[in-house]
Amino acid sequence: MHIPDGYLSPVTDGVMLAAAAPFWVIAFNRVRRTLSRRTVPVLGLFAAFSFVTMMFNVPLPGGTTAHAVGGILLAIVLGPWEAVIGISVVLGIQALFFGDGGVLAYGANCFNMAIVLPLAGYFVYKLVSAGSGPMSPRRVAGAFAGGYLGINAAAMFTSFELGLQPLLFHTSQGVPLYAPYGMATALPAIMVGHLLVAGPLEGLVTGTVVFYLQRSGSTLVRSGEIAKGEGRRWILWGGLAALALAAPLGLLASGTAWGEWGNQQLKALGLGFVPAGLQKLQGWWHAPLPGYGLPRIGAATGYVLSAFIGAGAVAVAVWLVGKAMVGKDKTSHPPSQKVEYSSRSKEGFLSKNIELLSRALESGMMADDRSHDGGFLQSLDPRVKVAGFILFIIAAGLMRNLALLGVLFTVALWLAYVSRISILFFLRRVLFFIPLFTAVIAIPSLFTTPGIPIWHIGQHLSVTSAGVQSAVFLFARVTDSLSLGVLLIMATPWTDLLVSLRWYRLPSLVVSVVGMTYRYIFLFLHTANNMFLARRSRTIERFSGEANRRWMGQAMAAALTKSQVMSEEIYLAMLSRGYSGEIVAVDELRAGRRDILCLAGAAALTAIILWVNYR
Amino acid sequence: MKTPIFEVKNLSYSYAGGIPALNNINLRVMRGESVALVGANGSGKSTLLRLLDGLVFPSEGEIDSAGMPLTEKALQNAAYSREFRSRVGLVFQDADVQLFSPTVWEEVLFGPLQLGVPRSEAAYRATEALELLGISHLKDRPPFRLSGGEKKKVSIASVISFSPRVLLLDEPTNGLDPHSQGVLIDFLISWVADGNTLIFSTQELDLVEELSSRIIVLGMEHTIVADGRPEDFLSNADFLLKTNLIHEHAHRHKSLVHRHQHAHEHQHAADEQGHGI
Ligand SMILES: Nc1ncnc2c1ncn2[C@@H]1O[C@H](COP(=O)(O)OP(=O)(O)OP(=O)(O)O)[C@@H](O)[C@H]1O
Ligand SMILES: [Mg+2]
Repeated sequence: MHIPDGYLSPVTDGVMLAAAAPFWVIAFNRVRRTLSRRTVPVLGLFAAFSFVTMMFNVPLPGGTTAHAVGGILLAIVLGPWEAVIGISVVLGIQALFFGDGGVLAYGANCFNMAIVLPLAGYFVYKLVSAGSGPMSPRRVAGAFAGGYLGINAAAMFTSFELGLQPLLFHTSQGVPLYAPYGMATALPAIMVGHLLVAGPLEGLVTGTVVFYLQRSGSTLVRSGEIAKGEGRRWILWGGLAALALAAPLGLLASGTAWGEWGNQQLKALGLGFVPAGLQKLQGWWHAPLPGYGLPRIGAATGYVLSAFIGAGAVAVAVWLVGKAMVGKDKTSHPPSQKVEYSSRSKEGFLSKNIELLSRALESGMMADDRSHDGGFLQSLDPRVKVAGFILFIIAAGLMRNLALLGVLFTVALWLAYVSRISILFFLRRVLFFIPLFTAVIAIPSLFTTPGIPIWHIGQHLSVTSAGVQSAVFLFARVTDSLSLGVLLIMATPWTDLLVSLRWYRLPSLVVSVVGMTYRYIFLFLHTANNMFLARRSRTIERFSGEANRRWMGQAMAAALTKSQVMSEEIYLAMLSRGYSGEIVAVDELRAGRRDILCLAGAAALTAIILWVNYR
Repeated sequence: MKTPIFEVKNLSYSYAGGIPALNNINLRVMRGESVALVGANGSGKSTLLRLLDGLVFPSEGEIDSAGMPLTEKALQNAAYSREFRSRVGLVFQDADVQLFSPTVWEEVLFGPLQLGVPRSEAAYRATEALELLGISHLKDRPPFRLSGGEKKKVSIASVISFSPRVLLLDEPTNGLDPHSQGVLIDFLISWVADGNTLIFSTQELDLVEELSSRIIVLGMEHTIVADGRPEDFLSNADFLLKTNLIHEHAHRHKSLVHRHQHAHEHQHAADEQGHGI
């Protein structure tokens, strides 16, 4: 669900950032008000948990991936606003270190996963578990439902944002400049995977962890009584939040020339266009509710609902087929059936890969080794670097000229060269995942983008010139933004980066949570890894699917509790050595004349590129 | 009389859920002392060291450090907190919890930089600490991926690097190879001789004899059952047995050989101390 840079136009990025901002302000103020000595380490720990959870990508048919976020668990255990901060932190680390989610698209990704996801999920959780005691099974049910619906709400926003791109941003010839697939493709492609895989996964993670935290008598669930009236209060808040969430979408939709895509009624509403196939469904959906006087809202709602209904139908079909094939399997619930299937292979997958994972993580984060080698970028003030690179990334986002994207990439390569970063290593880091992935994603758009056919394959398929252009655009833009981000990280020690973020007025609470999260990610992986090893050493035979599933839930909760204890220890260890919430940079921050010159150079280059671009 | 480094009065501590860890502890540590804390597993050694480092606070009773009460409130004062943290350093029993930086170098720099030591001075001290423990070659490695003993060394270096005047060490020689143990012990002996204060917990009675001028034994009831000169207790096999410091079985098979060594070394240590003090 992470949107890389290059998929969304910078305008969309800006709008989403603006939409996320008020939530951040609320979250920050709320959390600061209830801040205790334990908030920072616990928040950091859960953020690390969420980080690790997100690394288990499940490939989906159609070239996308889905994964659980763990964010609803954060919301349940720590509180919704704490979750907003925690996941925002995680997304920041992912964007910076792995190019998982773009730097410019940070606002959009946060909006979807750090705001919609925990708030919607928490709302559902409160609804289901209102008035229940801390040990009530209703809490587990609520956690499952919250997880399932929360992540689907987030996925829906993601598909809206992506689906809007080709409508809003294309060249005069109609070549999409950013994500190439319209709503009709984006929505089902993303939603089906989330309704069927990621949703149940998130629900399962949330539900089982809450269940085992209850069982182990962890203080994490024992605290926080849910009062009876609270459910109702949350309905109010949820309603307001839903309105707030809808607003930016309306903003995006209004004033654009996309009437041709939808029907007239919808255009009047200023919201949504309906793919032809769904228009039929819409009529179908109207039928049972003629007397309710909701035809107008019905159109938009029907649009959303039909996606759910369609996906639900697919789920039932999958379940039926699965049942026919397995025969005597007695599980009854479609979502859990699906998950059982995936979790059976999951344990082997997990235990094998957790080791690999921690290694990959380290190579991603241990750029610190290389960032000390004296080269051009390494010698610059980190604040200057942050500003310069963000300028470049924005430029990459705005460009409508392939040659200029090439120029920018050359600049990145040159910077790597003068900073004594091995070009080969650099390219491997940059191209490793996201651009290749993007290439796969872009292939169908070669055929589907309307335009002049330039190459025929068989009788029905033809590659259009617009299709090629759009695919190349996406690939080049993604590669450019990503290589700039990777370069910044490779040439800047982690602590310096944090300090410069602090200098750019990021609240110190957030900076310390970022710092703690970064530290705890390793702790968490370490704990998980050890638990797998310990288990392997104590068992000889393979477990049944049932036992495995049980163990997974237990292990997750235990790893969390264990890491919680450890996280507090680490915090004490930091206090003991003088930590007071502010991080001190390893290298002194001192922007000299050279730094200023370099920043001016970067600004000038950006200006020239943009001038050529818009000329 | 001089102000003691630590003055502990009627201290009791229990963890959440009412698990007792320390019970009515009274003790006074003067500057230049080298105190060994011994006691069976779970007797409260680590807890006491945390209390002395101002990381957790007594459930009952109080602690004064250098004449100032050591309370949560007092440590909220930034100036006092910095003064206290610079003066007192704690090496945790579990090295894993103490290592949280991306590289060993940053780990060792963390303390001095946080405590306001100027950069060049901090780098100098960090280099020295790494050299002392013979781990300069690990400088750019992530601390998470080191061997157990290497981790321990890094965690010791990360505390030594800010040059505290009082060192609290929780089982410092655990997991170190004999050579490294020797190096560390030599360092600590000369460090104490310079007028610094050392309080360490250990399970190794050899270490007590070599390093400490005073031994405090915590019993299973989480109280102090003995406090005095090491030689008065370590020769008392019944006492050691009673406080679970040795096991009859091991005693018979292994320690017989050891006993000779002990007696021998003991003599040696006593001589040395006689000269040193
Ligand atoms: N985090 C904790 N929560 C609850 N109880 C604890 C915790 N840590 C320690 N205890 C309990 O407090 C008592 C003292 O523990 P402490 O760690 O101080 O012992 P120790 O003497 O250092 O033991 P060891 O020799 O095993 O290191 C023990 O009974 C232990 O079970
Ligand atoms: Mg201990």
